[in-house]
Amino acid sequence: MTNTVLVIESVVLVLLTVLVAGLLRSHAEILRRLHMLGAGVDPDVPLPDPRTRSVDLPAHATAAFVDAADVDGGGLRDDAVHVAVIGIRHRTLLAFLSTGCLTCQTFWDAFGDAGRLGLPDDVRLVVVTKDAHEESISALRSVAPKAAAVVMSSTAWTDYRVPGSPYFVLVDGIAGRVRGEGTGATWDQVKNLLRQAGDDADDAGREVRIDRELLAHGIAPGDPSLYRTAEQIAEDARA
Amino acid sequence: MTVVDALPASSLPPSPVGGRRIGDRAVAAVTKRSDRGHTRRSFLVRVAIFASALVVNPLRYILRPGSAYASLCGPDASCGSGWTAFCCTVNGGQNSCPPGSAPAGWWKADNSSFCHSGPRYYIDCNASCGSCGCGGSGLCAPGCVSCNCHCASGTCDERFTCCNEFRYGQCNQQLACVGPIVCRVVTCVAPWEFDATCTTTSATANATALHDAPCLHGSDASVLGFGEAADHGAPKGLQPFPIVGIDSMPNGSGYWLVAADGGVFAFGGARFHGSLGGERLNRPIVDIARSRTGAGYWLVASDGGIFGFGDARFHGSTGGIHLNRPIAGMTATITGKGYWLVASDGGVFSFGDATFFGSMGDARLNQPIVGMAATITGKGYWLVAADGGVFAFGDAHFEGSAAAVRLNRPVVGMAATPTANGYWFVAADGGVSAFGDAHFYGSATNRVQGGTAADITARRDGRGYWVASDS
Amino acid sequence: MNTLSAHGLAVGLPAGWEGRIQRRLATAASEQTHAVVHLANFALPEERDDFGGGVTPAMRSSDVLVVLFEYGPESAGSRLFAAQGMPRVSADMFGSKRLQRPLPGQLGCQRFFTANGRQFCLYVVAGSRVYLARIVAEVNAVLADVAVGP
Repeated sequence: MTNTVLVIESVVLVLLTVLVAGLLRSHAEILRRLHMLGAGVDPDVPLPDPRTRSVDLPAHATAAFVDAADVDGGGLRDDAVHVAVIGIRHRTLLAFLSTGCLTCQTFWDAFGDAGRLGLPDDVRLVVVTKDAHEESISALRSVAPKAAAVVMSSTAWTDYRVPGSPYFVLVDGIAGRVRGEGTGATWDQVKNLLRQAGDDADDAGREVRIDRELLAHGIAPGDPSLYRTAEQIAEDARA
Repeated sequence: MTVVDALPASSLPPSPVGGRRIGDRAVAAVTKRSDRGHTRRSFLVRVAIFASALVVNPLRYILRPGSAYASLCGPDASCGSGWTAFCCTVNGGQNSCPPGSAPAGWWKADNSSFCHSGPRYYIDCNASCGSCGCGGSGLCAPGCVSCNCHCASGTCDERFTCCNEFRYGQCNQQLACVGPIVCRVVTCVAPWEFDATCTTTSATANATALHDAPCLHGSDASVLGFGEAADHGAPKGLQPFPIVGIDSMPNGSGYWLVAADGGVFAFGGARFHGSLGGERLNRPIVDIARSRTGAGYWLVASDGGIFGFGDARFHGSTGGIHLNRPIAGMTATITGKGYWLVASDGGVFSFGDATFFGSMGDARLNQPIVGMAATITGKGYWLVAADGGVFAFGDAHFEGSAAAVRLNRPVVGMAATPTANGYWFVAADGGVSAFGDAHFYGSATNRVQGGTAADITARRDGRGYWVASDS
Repeated sequence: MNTLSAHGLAVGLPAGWEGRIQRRLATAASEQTHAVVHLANFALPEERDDFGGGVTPAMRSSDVLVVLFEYGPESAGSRLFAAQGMPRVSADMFGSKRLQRPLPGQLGCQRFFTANGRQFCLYVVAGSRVYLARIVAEVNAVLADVAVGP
């Protein structure tokens, strides 16, 4: 009798061990993928400042911004949707989400209360999911925010080279260019990305204005006068 | 509507800022001030307004500054809001298109608390514009109509009347042109059942879901007896649903009234055998018919659903079949073992021992059928249309109609004499018309002023009739 | 030119315009719903009433909203829908009261018509008279690119 109980307990123990090992493996995989997306949770590595993380903004932003495209697709109620993203007066934050990703749930929840998003007045939120054959419409209907446009468009995922969800792209409607893109684990992180993209866009704009002023005075890019040392400038002044 | 009439316009708060709150303070303060010019009536009126505001729009009333009275009209009630006033505000309390206007379109607001979380329907009444043309706009120039753009007054519903030159377009499509919107009728009954000229194509405008007016809430039901038809009473107090039908005991000792929600009210010698009040119905009740003995009655819904009470047995219904148009009325056979239903397009449906003698279902009617009555032999029946047109079948004799007469208000019901040679019908303004050997005992025109007659029933010996109405 | 198509309708949209072609779910027995098209040169809010409720209060002076609302086949042959073919609009069709909800500065116009056997109402809301000439031209360009299937 005692032996039988011992055997059963051993079997249960083995099964539980296998189960825990599987869960740990799965957990590690999730951590690895989060890390790849810049949302790692390694306690030994301090969380980087969201303002400096994952925002793919090159130094000379205006030269490297990629073209943006309007979003065409379907709605959640058998409707056709065309959302203008370029050639318009406002900026658009494209939120590429899916119903299957756990991190996305944070954003679905956040978007449900549009009043608390704290988006700048000139930024419109548009949620983009994949097409109906890759996404569950019924699941989408249950999580989709009422106040934000939700477009099912795999084409938009391709157009914007979206690596996975969640992923965010900020488009300047006037310039028709992407101003910033990246991901985050929380809405606050994404908002910081937005702020940084705005600051960088301001910096880029300032550079353009300075270049224009210099050109007006006959100083072109690469002009030797731009590279003079403080001593040379002081000598010139004495002369 | 005493609640509104008793409150002078000057008592409206000038601004929502610093508005009265906590039960409008008036309710609490009135006990101290009742000896300083506040009558018991005004106290009751204020309490009623406070309670109404809480019932009609509790969140808005509690959370936003403003008076209870103002919240009775919902948002965007001011003149400059751009929306149109409710018809009951500008039409003497009647929730119907005023003379000189006609339904021209409708929309709905979904999930309305005013309609048991179902759709709430709004029907625009556009001014008639005579012979003026209008191109393809569907709307004639303001100069072609007799009403001028202004704001409604007298209640907190100060929205536009005769201003909005807009047409939803689902009703009276035979009219190429109409004028601006005079007002809007509001109902929980689908527009195509409310007015047969409206199609079933729906438009949605949820922005109007909370629009309201004091005159939309509650009505006093009354029954007027003529000839030897004795007064046995009427429901007390405001009724949330309109009375839609009346039928009387075989010996004239009493009668039943039925409201659109299926509530039944029994008076005199008529006994209560049950009702549908408080139950959720697919479609509203449109008529009542008693059994042969008077120990029961049937209620019929607009989808043809039949509900029998007492000894009124079920013999079939159209509840399970698709009707082109809603059921408008019913009448039972002399044996009590069958009944006929009539749809607003003139289609007749017979059940039990009721024999089919013909219908107007294949004919193109000028106006919808609104009621029917059977002959004493059970071998014929009449149908009456809203314009007073009468159609006789079987041994029912045609004794005249009002089709050639321009009625002020549409006909709403009919009753027959015991001879198969006469009948009465009643119009919405309470006017009674008698034909054949039906004796005219009087009309309710002056006594349902500001209200709407709903139906008529006659004594079995033909020596009088009752008119049921809301006011 | 972007093309939007659904429910037997196709619309070509110029740059900066956006649109929806939808058909609401019926919420009551016997109720019918048909295609409703919303086109605008501004960002359309998601909570829109069929004839612009929820949209027009936020419109700016240079904005324009175009609505195509379809009726059921029972409307065929009625006098209201006697006009044939997709209409064009002109400045004199617009009026400050020709609106479902007149709002300061806005102008509207309506046209009922039949196209390819289907009945529609065209409803246009312009943000202001200042930009009306440009708005009329833009709307006519959009209407010229509307295709109605059977």
